[in-house]
Amino acid sequence: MLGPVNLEESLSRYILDRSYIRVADRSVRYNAFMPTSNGEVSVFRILGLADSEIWEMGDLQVARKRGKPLLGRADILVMAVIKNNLQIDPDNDPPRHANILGWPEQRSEQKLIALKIAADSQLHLRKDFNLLA
Amino acid sequence: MSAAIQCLNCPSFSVVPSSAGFGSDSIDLFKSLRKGIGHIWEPVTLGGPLEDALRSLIELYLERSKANWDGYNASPITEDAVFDAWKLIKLLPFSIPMPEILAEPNGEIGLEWYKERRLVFVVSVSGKRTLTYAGLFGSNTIHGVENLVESLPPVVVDSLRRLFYS
Repeated sequence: MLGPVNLEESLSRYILDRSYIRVADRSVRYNAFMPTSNGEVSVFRILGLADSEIWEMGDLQVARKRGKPLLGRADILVMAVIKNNLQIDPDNDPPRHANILGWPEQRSEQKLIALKIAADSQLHLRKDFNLLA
Repeated sequence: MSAAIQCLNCPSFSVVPSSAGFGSDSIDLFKSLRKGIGHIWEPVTLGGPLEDALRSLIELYLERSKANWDGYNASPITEDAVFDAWKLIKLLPFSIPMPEILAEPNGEIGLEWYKERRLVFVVSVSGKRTLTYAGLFGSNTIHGVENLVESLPPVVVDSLRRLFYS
């Protein structure tokens, strides 16, 4: 089991909807990081995992459970999240799962933070993205 | 043939002000204006991008009007949000590129103007006659809320100008 979250580790936001990504320049749109009505953004800790293991975790823990194909993932450093006064709650349910919490109440402020996090994130598309999207 | 060019600060060609008077002159003026605006729609060069944007909006609604459209329990897009987005799109000046039209996890509809990672401006509507906006302009940022009325709020116009013309 992983220890406390550290600033240098990365998180993956698995993407199941094509509107969350820009294929043209392989970047992530802000809406991928907007919180749902319960004020959370679901992510996974990927510290120490090989690339194939990260995809496998997304397939097993996210895509199959939700009945949607895994299109890609947005990787983001914990530091890039924390600097926006957000918190990361590593609930480990399922293993390696965490939630980004502490979003401000104002929707416009949420949007601005989501824009910043998306700009700091790195998009990885599935090799078979064109067939899945 | 010459085409009409709209200034950035002017109201959109695609809406007619609803604050007209009640006298016969006002009614005649309103009818002329509506006829003129209808004519502007005829050239493909001006109508195309707007029609494409409105078509994207309808497609967005058809694909994401059921809960959990993103696999993370997203709220469905509502008809009221579509109505507000339709109105907002028609208020946009033709001198600005049409935005990408997106769904947000809470059911809002976002209009995104993107140049690069840190040059991006978004406005969203939820069906409550308000606009929520945010933008990244390099290291500068902006965010806030405005009412959705008969013309674009100056802060939105200024932000679009900043994104595309500075």
